[in-house]
Amino acid sequence: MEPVIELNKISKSFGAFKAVDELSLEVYKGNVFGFLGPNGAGKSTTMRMILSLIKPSSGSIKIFGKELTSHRNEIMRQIGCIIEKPDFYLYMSAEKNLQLFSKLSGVDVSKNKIQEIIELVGLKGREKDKVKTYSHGMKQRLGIAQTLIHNPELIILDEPTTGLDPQGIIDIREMILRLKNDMGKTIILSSHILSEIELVANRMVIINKGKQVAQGEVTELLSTQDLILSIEVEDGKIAIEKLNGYKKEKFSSLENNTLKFSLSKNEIPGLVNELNKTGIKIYGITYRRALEEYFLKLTHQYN
Amino acid sequence: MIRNFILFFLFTLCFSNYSVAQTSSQIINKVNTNFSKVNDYTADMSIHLDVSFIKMNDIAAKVFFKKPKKFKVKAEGIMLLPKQNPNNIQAMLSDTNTYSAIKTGTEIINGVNTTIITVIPNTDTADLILGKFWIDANKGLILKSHLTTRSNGNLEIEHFYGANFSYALPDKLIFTIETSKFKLPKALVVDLDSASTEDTGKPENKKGKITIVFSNYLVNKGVDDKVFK
Amino acid sequence: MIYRLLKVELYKIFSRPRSYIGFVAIAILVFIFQLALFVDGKTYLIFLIQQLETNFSISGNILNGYLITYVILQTLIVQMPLMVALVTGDLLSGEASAGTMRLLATKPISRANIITAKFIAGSFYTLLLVLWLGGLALGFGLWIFKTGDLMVLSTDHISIIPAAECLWRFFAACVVAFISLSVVTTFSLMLSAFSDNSIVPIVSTMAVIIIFTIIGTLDMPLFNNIKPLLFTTHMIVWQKLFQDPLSISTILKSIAIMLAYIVGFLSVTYYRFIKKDILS
Ligand SMILES: Nc1ncnc2c1ncn2[C@@H]1O[C@H](COP(=O)(O)OP(=O)(O)OP(=O)(O)O)[C@@H](O)[C@H]1O
Ligand SMILES: [Mg+2]
Repeated sequence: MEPVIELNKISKSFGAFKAVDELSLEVYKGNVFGFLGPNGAGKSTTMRMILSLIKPSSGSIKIFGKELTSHRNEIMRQIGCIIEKPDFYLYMSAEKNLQLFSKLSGVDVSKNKIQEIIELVGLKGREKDKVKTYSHGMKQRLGIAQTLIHNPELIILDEPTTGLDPQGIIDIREMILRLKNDMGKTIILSSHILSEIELVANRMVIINKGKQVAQGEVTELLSTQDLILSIEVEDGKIAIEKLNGYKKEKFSSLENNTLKFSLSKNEIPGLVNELNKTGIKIYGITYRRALEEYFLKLTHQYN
Repeated sequence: MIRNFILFFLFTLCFSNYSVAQTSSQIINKVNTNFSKVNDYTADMSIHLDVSFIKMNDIAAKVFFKKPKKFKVKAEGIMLLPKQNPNNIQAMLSDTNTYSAIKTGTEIINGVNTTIITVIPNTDTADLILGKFWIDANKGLILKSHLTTRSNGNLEIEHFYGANFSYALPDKLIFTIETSKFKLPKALVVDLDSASTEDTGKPENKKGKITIVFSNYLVNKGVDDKVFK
Repeated sequence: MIYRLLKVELYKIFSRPRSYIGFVAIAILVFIFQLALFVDGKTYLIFLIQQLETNFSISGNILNGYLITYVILQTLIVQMPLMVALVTGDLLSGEASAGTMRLLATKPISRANIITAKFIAGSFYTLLLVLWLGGLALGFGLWIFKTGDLMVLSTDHISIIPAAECLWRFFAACVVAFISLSVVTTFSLMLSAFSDNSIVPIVSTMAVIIIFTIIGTLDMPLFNNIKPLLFTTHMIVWQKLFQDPLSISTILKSIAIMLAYIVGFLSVTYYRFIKKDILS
């Protein structure tokens, strides 16, 4: 199957600074593709290149099997996007904004269709208000509406859940799944939260400092074969002594009386059993998948 | 004072020219007789201004006159006329009590022998200080006038006659006037190319010419008094 | 597609309050002028009349609608670049600073077409502004002060334009004024393509016009050589339409120079905007 998007070693430099560095990836039809990376990783920059907002310093982009540079308008007609913040003409109503942008996408949508979409994103009742009276979350919802209004094949969402309330986040998640499952749309979704991607994406790429760190099926990348187990005990040093070399090859670190092991899920019961036998007090046991652990380190949220 | 001096001067001239056939009053009477045949008239006027600081197309106007002193020029738009109108001069000349006239010489103008008559008003208040007329004594027509006025300085008029010469009504008058320098403050205008038209340095007084061509005379056909209102 | 885009651009211009500042300002100024001249017009003209009356007797309606219109145009067209730039300097940069350029530029419209639509919309706005000024001044002028020959005042002479010729001359003047304001339109549009906020292009446009105008009024040999090259020099060429004899060739030359500026500014705008990375 031909990929919907094919990036071939694209790079983008701002002066001497390389924001994206030889990134290659493929997105297939009907997939939700996750774009994961910490702040400043180059997610938005890559998306801007896909959307022809900025030109790659090198590399090539194919969308729907066609060169972006030579088939730009044709390709853009089939894309809906939110990039960075959802910005609109503040001096117009939401309805008018949707109408203008759909017009510019080359379709004349009916009032009913606009109404329908406004209802879908939960802005019903506010559609006549000027956008300048909207909260950030409302603008974000309007942003989603705007990506869908001209019924595109490919939807690009750059951090669509920032600023949304918990219900909003769930709504969007469900909407993405519906677009994928019921309508067969292809979606690219960026986030710096792994769990958000994991819940909806089937493939993903992790980038850091413009470079690809990992790419593949979500289930493979986040397999339970490769876990990081953290066990908080009364005294870490004594615990290690008393384990007496058990699973020594899997042991990775000791910090604040927390032992860390890299192992697969089915090795956990044995280890816990062994610890129990030593009589050391265990306060807590948690595990993370290796990639998750790695990503948390990247985003410095973990410590 | 000046007037007395001029009078004296003219009297001396007068005596020196005593041999000439007609007296000044005879000549003026001839002029007045011509003009007195006119009870009223109307004519079309075309005014052409040749004044350095005015750029204007020829003005079409209509002139109305009725004895003794009703006079009116009507135009559609803006009209600039010389301050002295020739009818006023005629009217003044016909009131012979108000001035003294002295012959002061002869001259040939356009091949016509003319007698020069100098006129001085008898009052100090008149605008005219001194009038000098070159008169064709045979026909009783003024061919040239030179007026010195209080308000306007010097003014020269050339008179040209055609079909209506017997009424002393000219076909064409050419006024030569002295114009003072025209200058508006910058505040009133935005100038386009002030650099190119700037020709300061010269003294102020310049000559301007105004040519008035008369046509379609209707003489003594009656003029409604309303037009003079 | 360009037609759609143009409609959208016009809609955007005319749904913003700032676009009406110019119209309101012009209406107020025209009203004030008419009122002032109605009350005090004779005083305004006294200086002129006095000078003329030394040599002539003047008759006719000097303070007429055409003169009022001329005086108003003369005074206000100089202020129009600000009103124009307020809108046109914002056309590209405003979208950049509002963030809507990100959306606009991902639509299936070429960047060139975005410029074209904005240029046409901006020009249309400028044209409306000029016609508004001309129409208000002339309409109220003729209504209140009636018609008459137009006495055009310069520092050292006056020209008198017959009333019958005034209408077409004012119309031509509006066209020429529109062309000169289009230089401002394209200039500010060009600056707008280089900036991500709208203050810079608007203020810069005004600064350039002020600087050029000052250079234009300085009578120094150094500047005299570059004066014909400054576009501000040609922006008052509409007044030449009220000078007799009409020097068509000077007018056409100025128009040609202004058109060259327009083409030049537009080319830079296209070049810049098509190549630009949209980072806003
Ligand atoms: N206009 C620019 N000039 C210079 N550097 C830039 C510019 N835009 C982005 N960058 C740099 O490029 C890098 C990637 O930025 P980008 O916006 O793509 O990150 P991101 O992955 O979207 O981050 P975030 O999660 O914060 O949105 C950052 O280091 C940023 O500083
Ligand atoms: Mg980003």
